[in-house]
Amino acid sequence: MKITCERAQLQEAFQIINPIIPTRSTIPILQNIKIIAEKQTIFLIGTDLEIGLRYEIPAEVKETGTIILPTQRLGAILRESTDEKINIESDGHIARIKTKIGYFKILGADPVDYPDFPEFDTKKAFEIEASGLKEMIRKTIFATSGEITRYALTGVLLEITKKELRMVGSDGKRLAFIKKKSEQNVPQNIKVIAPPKGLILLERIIQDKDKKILITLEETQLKIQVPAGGSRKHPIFLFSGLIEGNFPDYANVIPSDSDKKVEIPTAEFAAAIRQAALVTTDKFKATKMILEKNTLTFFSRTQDVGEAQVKMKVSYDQKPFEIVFNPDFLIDVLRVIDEPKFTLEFKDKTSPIVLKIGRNYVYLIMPLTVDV
Amino acid sequence: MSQLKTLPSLLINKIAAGEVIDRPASVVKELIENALDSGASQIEVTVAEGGKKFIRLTDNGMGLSQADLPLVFLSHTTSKISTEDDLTGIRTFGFRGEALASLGAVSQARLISKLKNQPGQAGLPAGQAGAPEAYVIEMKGGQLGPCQPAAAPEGTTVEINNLFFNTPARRKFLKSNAVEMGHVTEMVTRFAIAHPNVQFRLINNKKHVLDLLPVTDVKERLRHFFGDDLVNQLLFVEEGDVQAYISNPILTKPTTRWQFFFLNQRFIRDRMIARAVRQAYAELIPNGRYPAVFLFIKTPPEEYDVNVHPTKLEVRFRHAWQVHDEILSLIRKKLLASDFVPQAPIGSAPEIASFGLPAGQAGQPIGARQALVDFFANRPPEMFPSSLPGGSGAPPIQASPGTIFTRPGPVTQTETANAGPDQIGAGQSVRFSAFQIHQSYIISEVPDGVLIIDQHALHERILTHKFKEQMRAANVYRQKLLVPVLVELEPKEYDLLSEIRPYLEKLGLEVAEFGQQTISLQAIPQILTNANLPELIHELFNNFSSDEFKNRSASKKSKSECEIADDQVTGEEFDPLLDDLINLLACKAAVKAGDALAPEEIQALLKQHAAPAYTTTCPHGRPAVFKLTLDELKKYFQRK
Ligand SMILES: Nc1ncnc2c1ncn2[C@@H]1O[C@H](COP(=O)(O)OP(=O)(O)OP(=O)(O)O)[C@@H](O)[C@H]1O
Ligand SMILES: [Mg+2]
Ligand SMILES: [Zn+2]
Repeated sequence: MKITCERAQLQEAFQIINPIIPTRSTIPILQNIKIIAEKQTIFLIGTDLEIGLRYEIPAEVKETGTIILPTQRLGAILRESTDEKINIESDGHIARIKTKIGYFKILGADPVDYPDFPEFDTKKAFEIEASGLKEMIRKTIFATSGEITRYALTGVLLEITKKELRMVGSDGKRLAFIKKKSEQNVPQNIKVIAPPKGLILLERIIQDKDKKILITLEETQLKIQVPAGGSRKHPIFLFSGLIEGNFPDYANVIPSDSDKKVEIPTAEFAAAIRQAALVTTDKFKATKMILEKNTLTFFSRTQDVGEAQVKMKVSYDQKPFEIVFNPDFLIDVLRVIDEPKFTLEFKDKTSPIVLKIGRNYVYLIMPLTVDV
Repeated sequence: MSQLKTLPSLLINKIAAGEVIDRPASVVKELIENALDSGASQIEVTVAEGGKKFIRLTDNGMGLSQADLPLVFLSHTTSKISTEDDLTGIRTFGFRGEALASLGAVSQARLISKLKNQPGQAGLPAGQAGAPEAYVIEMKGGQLGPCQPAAAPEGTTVEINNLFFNTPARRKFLKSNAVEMGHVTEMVTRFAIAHPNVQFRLINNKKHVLDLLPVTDVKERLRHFFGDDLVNQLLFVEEGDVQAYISNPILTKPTTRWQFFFLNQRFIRDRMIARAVRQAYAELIPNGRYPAVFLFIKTPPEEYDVNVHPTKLEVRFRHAWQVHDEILSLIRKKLLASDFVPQAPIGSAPEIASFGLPAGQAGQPIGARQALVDFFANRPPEMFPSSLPGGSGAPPIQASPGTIFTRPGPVTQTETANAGPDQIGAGQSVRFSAFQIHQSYIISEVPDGVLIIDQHALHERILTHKFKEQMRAANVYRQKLLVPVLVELEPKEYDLLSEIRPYLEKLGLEVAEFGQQTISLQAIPQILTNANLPELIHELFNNFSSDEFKNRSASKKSKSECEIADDQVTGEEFDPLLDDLINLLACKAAVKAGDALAPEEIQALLKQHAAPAYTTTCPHGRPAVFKLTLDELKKYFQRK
């Protein structure tokens, strides 16, 4: 193969692919990046078999061909160079890369050993609206569980109907639910659990101006094509494995009988809870929230560390109420909330704290109890 | 016709002998006790064939008069007590008048004695003025011989020939000469430690086995028996009536043979004391290893009863738990106040190192003292007061609208040092670095060297400590689960459910039955939020049904036998069952070897480590921290 392409474009592609290429793998060839030169484009491919990405950029192809290159080496060359264009030639498994001042000879691997990369079948695909997807991912993914033992909870539940998109993330102690009105041409309702890895990748790829993405669903794989647009001359194709398992019935756990309600200004609340959490440590994180007439107080105390008490004004005139919870659960959600206000609802000390933004976002936190 | 007969007294004595005398070592014990009771300051024990053939004890005590001599071998003949009331305040080793009678029944015994010449004593025959005769009396297999004049120095000599010659069954149970001699030596050792001011000599087959001059400091005796290496590492503690030399936790032994408990100079075995020692070292030393402990208790004889066991090896304390707690607190305090980090075996023997402290502040780390206070505090302050703290508390911080605090960044160790009001090294301004290697260990620079920390062991230790703190305060936080975790039990686990449930509940695991031998976890202790719950549950059940566990719970029952109702005594730690389960929980909750740690996590770990500074081993007792001092490095690189 023999190609010339713009260094900046190659580097941009490289930066998106790089994070999914494993730095260590039982299949060492996966630690490489695969480059395929065809007619007027080159494809960059990376995968860890769980997720994979194919990125296409325009290039001047003098000779088609395939090469497998060590990811970090290529990355370093791209980073160091300030050239506009870059030349790559292959000679068997050896790549020769030419820049203005440099000439590199890099030993690659045999393309035959690289696992087959799936194809995207546009005919089977359906469209979903891209706008808002980024936000939905951000507002649910943080609540997923890291416990492989609760396998279903490591992923985000994705529900697609003709009129609505829904995502749910939970680790069994808290739950984030978001929904959005949107038009999809799905043949029937879809319900899958997607691993965070794939969603994080998608979240990074989607740009604000993207209108639609294409999706196909196969037994255990979700394939997505993000169409060309903006600075992207070609579509990006990514696939992600799906998580098998039963996602808990979220509709059942979202309470409807919370009788205490208070409206909260986001920024002030975030500052207060962070301060209250300063004195909590590691596995012993507990903060008490006390609601009294027009005042909200956080209180934390940790042996060996100290205590913190933080007050803020709210408008509340229902029965005084208090509840203990892990402050991290609130701090986490506050990082993804852009809205200036939200509401908190409570029932009692042992029922979930319910955070709501409008009618589309619900976040539940199970409290901590000390009953003897 | 009546079937019941009064046993001939010889038979009674033979039976009784079985209880007191079971091997040469117990003969030696009875004889040494008699010698000590007679006020001897020199005791010589000579044996042949491990004592099976011959035992002789010579003392320089006050001796016996001619009149008393024929009585010594008679049952229930004693000079030491006379009324029942005397039984409650026994100050001598003997009191039953049984030992010599028993011995005389099962051997060929001979006693020679010459009464000490007491100045001003009258009533002696004129011809022998000032120098009373010695007399000898024999008893062979229960047959008492006549009392005859003999030649001997002041004091008493007792000879026991052919022990068990007339009870072949018993003789058969004796072990090899070497084994019996071992027991005899051990026996003399106990007395020699308890009575450093008495001269002891032990001769076996004409060879001097022990030759101990009187000393004022018991340490000299210990040095003789256990060597400089051990004795130099012993810590001395003293409080009230208890004194002890205890080994630092780095120095452990494979058995409890290095534990000697003395009550008013009497060697005793005591489960409660053993338990107190075990508890004091809990979490500081590895499982299956034991500390060396030499414990000397002085207490009025009214406080305990020695008349519970024929060998007088066991006693019954009137306030057993109080004794237990005093000893536990005494040792634990000392251990917590000292910091031990095993050091590299470069150069000389490891020293007791101060831990994580700037040089020059070694000795009494405040963190450890605080840990101690917590340890013994009956109820650490509640996590949350039932009402809000009033004006006395810290002024509430007003959240200023608009300011969004950035996420608290990584904590540096510089902050660590200044963390608490009474934290160590307040003036320290140098920043020390720390990093992880092999995703398992943390290397941390400290002022006088380098610490190598096993991340799992340390974290587990910290979690155990904190979790116990919560338990003590009845403040275990249960994280309610939104979606319960289902765990399918094996049939034998299911059978144990009702038994283990109270324990699970205490630990903060809320369990409901789900049918089909399945349980659902409704709430879990907060520290477990990222643990593999089903695996944990199975392991809890497994631990619970293990043999070791059953033994532990048996030993727990023995407590109620002690008729001690009050469990609230200070220092009393958790039920051993619970203790084990807590350790298991902490183990599951802790970071594992192989977990990559972010810099903040490393700093958090080190920061917490600074608080209970004694955490050098994990609850399994494996060491958690290894220290290489600058001095050692210098030595190694020959810069010194
Ligand atoms: N070495 C000795 N020196 C002086 N008196 C002795 C000596 N050994 C024994 N006696 C006397 O003989 C008595 C009987 O001794 P023996 O050991 O049988 O009983 P005891 O010591 O009184 O009680 P115990 O059976 O509990 O040992 C003692 O009370 C003591 O008066
Ligand atoms: Mg006696
Ligand atoms: Zn462990």
